[in-house]
Amino acid sequence: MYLKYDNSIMNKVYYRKAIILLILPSMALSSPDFEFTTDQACGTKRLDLPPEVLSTIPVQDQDGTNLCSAYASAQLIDAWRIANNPPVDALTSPIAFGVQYAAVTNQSGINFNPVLEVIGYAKKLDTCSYNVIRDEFNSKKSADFIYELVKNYQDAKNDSSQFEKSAKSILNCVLASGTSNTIDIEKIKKYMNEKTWVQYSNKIIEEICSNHKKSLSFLPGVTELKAHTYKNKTSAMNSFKKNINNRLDQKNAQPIGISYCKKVLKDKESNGVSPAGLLNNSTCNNQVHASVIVGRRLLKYKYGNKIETICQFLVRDSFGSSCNGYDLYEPDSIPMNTGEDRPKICENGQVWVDENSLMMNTSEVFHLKDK
Amino acid sequence: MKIFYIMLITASCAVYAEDSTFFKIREENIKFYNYPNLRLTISKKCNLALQNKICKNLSFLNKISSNKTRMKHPNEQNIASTICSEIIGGKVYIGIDKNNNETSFCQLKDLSYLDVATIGYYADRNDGLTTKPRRSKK
Repeated sequence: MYLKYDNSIMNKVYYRKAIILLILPSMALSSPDFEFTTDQACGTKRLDLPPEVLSTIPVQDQDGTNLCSAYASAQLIDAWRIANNPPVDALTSPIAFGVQYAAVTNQSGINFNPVLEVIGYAKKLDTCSYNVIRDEFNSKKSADFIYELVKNYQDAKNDSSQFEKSAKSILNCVLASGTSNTIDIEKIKKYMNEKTWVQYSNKIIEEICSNHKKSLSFLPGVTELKAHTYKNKTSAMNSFKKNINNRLDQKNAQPIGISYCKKVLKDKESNGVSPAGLLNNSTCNNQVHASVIVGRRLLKYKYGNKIETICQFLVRDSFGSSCNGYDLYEPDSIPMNTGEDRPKICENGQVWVDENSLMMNTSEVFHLKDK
Repeated sequence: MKIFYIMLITASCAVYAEDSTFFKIREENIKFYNYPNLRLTISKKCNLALQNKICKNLSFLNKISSNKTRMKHPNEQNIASTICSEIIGGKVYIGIDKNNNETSFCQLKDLSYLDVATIGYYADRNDGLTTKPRRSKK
């Protein structure tokens, strides 16, 4: 059995070319009676392209860490630092940030946390160099790095004969990275007596980051909008849209964070936030997520025999730069202008989503305040 | 008839369209082949026209599903990564492109690397989750 092609794509590619070649001349002779509407408020904006701020911050991959809140927060923090507090010699490690947040707030594990709480805490935390942590796990998947620390801690806890071995193992790992010159075996043994693996991991990461961290106390406050505080979901959606558009229209615009139901990235009809404005695993089929909005565009699509337009937001996800997870095009989309290609659903791992669909699935909108 | 053949060749080229890119994985620069119409990125060339062994080895993509994995790991945010390690028996690595963007790859048993997003795409497609046209005027 061979790899089957996506029939819908294959047939469309083949037949579309044939149909275009055969029908195009006749279309030119009889112009169709399309209705066309434009939305003046939906001008194209891209924060991910030069010279805008996110063009210098890569798309990251949280992999299996469940640290989406920390990844979204790190993007907001670094965009703000680059714009308002240069020079920024190293980007923020979301892993270090997420583990530090979990440790400071006494959590027993690393799970999804409301982003507002995470970003709201940022002033009390540090930014540790993204590259230092990435080099530490040497292209291992992010989750492996954390699991290694967890396993190391649990081995030592469960079997005292493993204590020395586990301590040496992690010491070698940290020493090999060359990032810390203050760590020794006695320190690691002391850290292994921490009550939870979160506290232990945080101590190890602090050691790795010791020469590569900066306090985030200079960060401004956070503007936050929560759906459940509005009189109904419609007013929350309208307020969210207005706020996001205002932010995007600013000079030197900054990205905007959202807590939302990830289902909407593939399903326009998804309605993952309850009428009361709540987002949780039961309203959203276990796909609660956090990302940042980094752009806006007007999409042209065919609806019956009419051409309509719709405003879309560009969502920068934290699952890497690949677009293979999404179809190339929406089935009803058409080129914006004659001679152009059809607009793609996904660019560099960032996904275009209809603004109303996205707002139906968003429970929180937040961003760092201006300087 | 001639026009038909020209159209056929043009359509075939579009289907088999391929480009390449490099990712750094574990300090090694590795060449990847992209087949955009198939939503496929892999480190070994899959000659679709000839259906070589690499392509045949990917036939598992037609069968994968995320349903069971989702039930087992309801809070897992990257289900395709879990499918790689638990269903396919691979190991996930992060690749870094020339612009420092990250992408996770599943190292298969033949040591080739397959884009984790490709796995997610085929799992969703097999589970009936595809992009649909708008049902109403927004």
